[in-house]
Order: sequence, then structure tokens, then C-alpha cells
Amino acid sequence: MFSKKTVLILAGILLVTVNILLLAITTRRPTSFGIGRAMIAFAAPFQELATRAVNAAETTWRDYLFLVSVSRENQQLRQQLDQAVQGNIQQRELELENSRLRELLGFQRSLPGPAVAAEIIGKDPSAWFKTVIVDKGQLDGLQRGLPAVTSLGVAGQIVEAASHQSRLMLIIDRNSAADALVQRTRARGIVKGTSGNECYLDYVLYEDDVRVGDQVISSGFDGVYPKGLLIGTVTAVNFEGSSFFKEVKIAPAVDFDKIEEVLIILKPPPSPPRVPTDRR
Amino acid sequence: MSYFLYIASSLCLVICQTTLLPRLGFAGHFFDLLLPWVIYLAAFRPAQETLFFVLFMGALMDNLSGGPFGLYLICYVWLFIAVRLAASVVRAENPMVMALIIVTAVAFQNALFIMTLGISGAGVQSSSDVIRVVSEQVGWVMLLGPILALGMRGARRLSTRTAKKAPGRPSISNG
Repeated sequence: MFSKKTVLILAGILLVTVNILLLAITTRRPTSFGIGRAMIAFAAPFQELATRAVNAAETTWRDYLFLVSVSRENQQLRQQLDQAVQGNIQQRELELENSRLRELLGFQRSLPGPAVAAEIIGKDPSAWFKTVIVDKGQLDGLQRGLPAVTSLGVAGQIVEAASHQSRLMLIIDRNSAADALVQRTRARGIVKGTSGNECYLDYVLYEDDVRVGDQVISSGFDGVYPKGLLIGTVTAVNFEGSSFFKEVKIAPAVDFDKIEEVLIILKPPPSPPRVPTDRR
Repeated sequence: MSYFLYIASSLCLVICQTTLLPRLGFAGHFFDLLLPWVIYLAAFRPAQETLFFVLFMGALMDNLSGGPFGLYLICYVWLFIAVRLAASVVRAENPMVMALIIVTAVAFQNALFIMTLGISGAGVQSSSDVIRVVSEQVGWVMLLGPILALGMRGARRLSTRTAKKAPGRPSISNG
């Protein structure tokens, strides 16, 4: 009845009319005609899944990048902190060293002769002997037999001097001996080391008054240590009835585990005047 | 090259022993670090190459120590001889055997020192001090001996491989 061309034109006009009507109606009264919720219910889970996945990926990437930068920043901050701590430690060390050297300097003025400050650079490799290596030698005026002291008391004597370093035998070494006096009663004896952290005052006569807590000082009679330097404090006095001598134990004034610097007295002490003694 | 290596190694050990270890309060009385080195040289290196060096190490230690000169020298030489003899009888490459040799060497060194001090009249510390020093040293060496022994075996194998690869060089033997 109608040609094909006429049908297509009519269908086109109808579609346009329906569209215009639909738009006119939905513009005035928005509605989805009941299919909206179903479509949402169908599509939403996938959308959610996709969104979350993308978000997760995005977050992961962003966080990773963030963490990388945070990690870098953390590393830089740690380095800065380490440097600050190191600087702080060095400053503290310098302060302590300064304090020790000031103490030594003050003490040096009270010594009978010129002195050289030396740093301990090595300790005895053996547990059975107590010697140390110091960083001053013959070129600094050091020679065998010179006494070494600290502000706390007698440290030892030089037993070997090389050009730039020397070996110092501490008074706690078993081979060390120093003539000494008990300051309170002037009782004489020989301080000998044990290679432990203590010394003995040998040859103290049984009638001599020596008590725990007495201070032991150098007598100057040995020709090595100047007179009057503190050696240590008496910690124990034993006496066996059959012996002529008392056994006197001394705690050295110097803490040899922590000693770092010493003063080497360059000029040996003057020989003490020959005073006749009724003791020996 | 070998001598350079020997000298550098022993200097490192000496510095470690005299400068670093005393600063570690927890280390207490550590054993002589050169002992394992002497043992290694005695057990695994040719005598003509190492004997002079062992003498050098002994003299070096004697100069750094407050003990009578020759104490370390004697100790190292006797140890060198004893280990060479032992290596001809037992298989020194076995870590257990080597650990035992190291422990024995430390005990031997301490015994020699105590004996020498006793003979020289210098007097030995109180028995409690002696026990403490020896037990600390032996304790450390028992702890570290097996590791040192394994290290020695590794070094021995490495040096053998290197010697085999190097053309025209005689292979290292115990003799």
C-alpha cells in the first residue's frame, strides 16, 4: 500500500515525535519508569569493585611514591641525627679531654720539674703484665727511668723510649717497685705491683702504725718518683705474729683501667739528703 | 706478596689486641690473637716461608709487652714446632681438631707465662686472679675457637686454589 520510502519517513517522524514527547514528559516529571533501580542494582557492584580496585591501585601507587620520598627523608633525617649525635659525642669528649688536660696543667705547675703530657696509645698485649705505650719518645725528651704521674697520683715509669713512643711500666706491674711512706705515720716500705688492680706495701715493720684508710705517698728515696706524690690508700693490713713485716694492701690512687693521659716528669727528682734514720 | 699479607695481618691483630680490645669492657682478658695466626702458619704454610715471620711476631709482641723479652718469642716458636708436629700426625684441617689445638695453645701460653713468672721470682698474682685470667681466656677461645678453625680451613682452601691457578708456582703442602 505504501512504498518502502514512505514507511521509513513515517517511522522517522514517529520516532522524533516520541522522543519529543518523552523529553517533554521527563523534563517536567523526572522518572525512570521502574527500570532505574534494577539497572543500578545490577551495575553498582561492578562499579564499586572497579572503583575500589582503581582506588586501591591509585592509593598504593601514591603511597608507594610517598613512602619512597618519606623513606628518603627519613634516611636524610637519620643521617643528620647521627651527625648531630656524633658531633655531640665529640664535643663531650673534647670537653672531658679539656677538663683532664686543665687538671693536668694545674697539676704540672706543682711538679718539681718540666713535664710532658703523653697520651696512652696502646696497652700491654698480655694479661700478665701492666705496661702501656705512650705517644712521646726520645725526641720529646723522654728516657728510661723517668716517672709518669697523673693529677691523681703516681702512674709508673718509662722503661723503654723509642724516637716517638715509649713504654711505660705502671706501678701495678709485678716488676714495679717504688719507695713509699705512709703519710700519717711516716712508716716506710716498698710499693710493689701485682699485675692486678692493687699493690702491696712491703717491708713495713711490725711495730709501724699503719691503718686502713691511710694514704701512701712516694718518699723520693728511690730516685725515680718525686717525694710527696700520692700512690694509693691502704685497704687492708695483715700481720702474722711470726713475721717481722706487716702485709699492707693498697688501692692505687690512679684508676688504671680508665687512664688516658699521663705527665712524664722530664727532670729526675733531686736526690734526697742523706738523713740518718733509726728505722732501718 | 705473602710477606706483605703476613705483616699486614699481624699488625692488624696487634693493633686490635692492644688498642681496640682494651676499650671493650666486656672482653675482659682476651686471649692472644696472634696465637691462631701462628697456628695457621705452622699447620698450613711451608716452614721456610713462615718461621722467620713467626720469630718477627714474637719479637714484636715482646717489645710491646712488659714481660721479659723472649717470652712471646719462645712461646710462638714452641707452638710453631708443636703444631707442625701435630699436623703431621692429625688432620689439622678438621675444624674440631683445629679448635682443640687453639684451645690447647692458649692454655699452653698461659702455663708458660705463669711458669716463667714463677721461675723469674717476679711472683704470680693471687690464685683467684690467675684462675680468673686463665678461665676468661680459655672461655673466649672455646667460644671463638670453632669459628677460627672454620676460618682457617676456608683460608687454607682458598690459598690452595689460588696456588693451583697460578702457573709455575709450587703447590702448598704441609711440609
